[in-house]
Amino acid sequence: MSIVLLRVDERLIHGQVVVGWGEYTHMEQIAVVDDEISASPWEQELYCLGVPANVNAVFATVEEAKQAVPGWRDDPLRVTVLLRDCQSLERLAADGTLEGLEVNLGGIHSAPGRERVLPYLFLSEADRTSLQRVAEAGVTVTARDLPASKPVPLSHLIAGCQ
Amino acid sequence: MTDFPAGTSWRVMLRSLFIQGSWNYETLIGTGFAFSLLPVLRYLHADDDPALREALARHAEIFNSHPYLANVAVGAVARLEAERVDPLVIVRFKSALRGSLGSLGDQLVWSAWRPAAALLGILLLLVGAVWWVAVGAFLLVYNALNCGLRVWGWRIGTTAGMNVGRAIREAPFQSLTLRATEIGSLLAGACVAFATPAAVNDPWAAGVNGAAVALGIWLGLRTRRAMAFALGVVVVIGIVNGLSK
Amino acid sequence: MTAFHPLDLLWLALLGGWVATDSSSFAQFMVSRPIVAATLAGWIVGDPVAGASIGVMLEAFNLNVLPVGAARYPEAGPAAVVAGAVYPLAAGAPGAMLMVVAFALAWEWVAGTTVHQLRHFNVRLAAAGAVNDAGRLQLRHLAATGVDFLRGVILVLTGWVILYVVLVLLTPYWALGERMTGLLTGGLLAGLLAGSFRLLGGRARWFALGVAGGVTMLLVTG
Repeated sequence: MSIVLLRVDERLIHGQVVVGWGEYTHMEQIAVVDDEISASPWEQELYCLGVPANVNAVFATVEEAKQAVPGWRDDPLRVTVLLRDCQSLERLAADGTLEGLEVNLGGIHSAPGRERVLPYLFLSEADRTSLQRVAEAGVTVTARDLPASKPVPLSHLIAGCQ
Repeated sequence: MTDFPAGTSWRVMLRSLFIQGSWNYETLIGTGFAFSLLPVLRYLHADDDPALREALARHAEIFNSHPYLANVAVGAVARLEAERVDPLVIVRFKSALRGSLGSLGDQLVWSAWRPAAALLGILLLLVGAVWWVAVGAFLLVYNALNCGLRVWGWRIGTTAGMNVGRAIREAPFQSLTLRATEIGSLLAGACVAFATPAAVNDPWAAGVNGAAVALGIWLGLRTRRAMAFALGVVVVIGIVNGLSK
Repeated sequence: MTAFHPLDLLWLALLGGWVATDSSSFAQFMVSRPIVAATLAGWIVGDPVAGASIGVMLEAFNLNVLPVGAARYPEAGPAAVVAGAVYPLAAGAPGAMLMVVAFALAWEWVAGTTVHQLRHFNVRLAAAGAVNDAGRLQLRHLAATGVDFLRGVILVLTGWVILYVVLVLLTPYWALGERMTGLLTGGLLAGLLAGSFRLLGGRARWFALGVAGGVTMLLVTG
């Protein structure tokens, strides 16, 4: 299995992922899964600026990623999969595509309708429902900004919101 | 500097020193971004207060970046605002750019340039340089990059606007980062040799140092925790031993 | 412990405010790095060399901290000011160096916690409410930096008092010999410096070259 990191983070490719997690996962490829960005070359160019020289970045829609995930899991390359929101994750995880994997919630920030759960994590009602469905699809959901932090389990994240 | 009066540029540069001045868990450095951009917004909306208020509120939304490279975003957004680009596009532009600026800055400044400059200062102190030479060398080397990036960022941002991506790709971030890690590693090695000069003719000291160095190389970023623990144990033993006498 | 001038505390407090804002709020010139902060603190109390020696130890500890993102991390500046200001007063006492470094590491965590608290507080101070009013936005933004400065002042003054008392009470009981203490201090420093190897991308050849160069120089200069 070679998806070394599966993460929901609004900032996608940034310092925590590249430096904080990179030091730990030694990733060789970043796959950004997002419908909107996959259709927008100028945004892709900007997101790619922060990718280190020895890492290659690809962009996929959720549908494309569903096809690609089995390949990534068997890939000899060490792949980091990044998504921007819980709803894309839910769609990707449906039908057990991500079964047996762990997903880390690394940064979802304040927005109308979202409540603070952790300093780096704000969740709405819809986010929580999505995450529960993701867990039901066989994925271990935890919040963890950096490898040195303790993972916070989903049950705590949902309880912390009410 | 492109399109803006020199006074406006200077004001933005000075304000951007405070860009992280109100770091908070909700909008991160959003307020600081608006604070830095304010002279530009005032220049563009000199006699249109509602437009100024609307633009200010938009730019106080969540933002984060590396503090030095944030000027790239401030500059580029200044240009987009001057060109009256659709606010929704500006929001997407900022989100796409912020992570990259953070990532580039973290790699170059925090994990390469700063440790390399600090190791230079440490080495100078260990070989017996006068204290202000060592401290001065660290500050000069480090801040050459700090100030350089801030000025460059504002320039490149205001010149390239939407096309700032290409300008960043052409800048030597990767090679600067690589050179800094090479020189930093060289300095780290030399510092290790000078950590205890006595080890050269003291087999015990040489043994302890050798073991500690091997441990440090193996542990990497976890060295701090391990060594802090070891230090705690030593201090407790040192004192408890004395109290019991 | 040797005597100190009460007026020094004023300068140390101001330095504390500066280094607290330097690490994030204002300009990041890195006067907040221990190698600078502890040395300047030592200079204020009249012994920059003793300040620098504590600065090197604390800098070595902080080489291995990466400030990425919103995660909590220890804050080095104010603790280094305290350490660099108090260590010279006890520089003769065996064990003082290790005790001061141990205290500074604990104080770095206390300081880090206050950064965390301030970032929560700033949500209400600077992020909420009328962000479309230029005057108020500026005032609240700069007020947050002001609070950060005050935070540094308080951390330095309280840390100074605690460390001074700790050293007066505990240094007389230090029971490890000078040689043993020296060996342990050297080992600690060497290990920490080597720890930066991986942070810098694990460039083994360059690191080995540095070690070889350093050892050669030591042998030549005797």
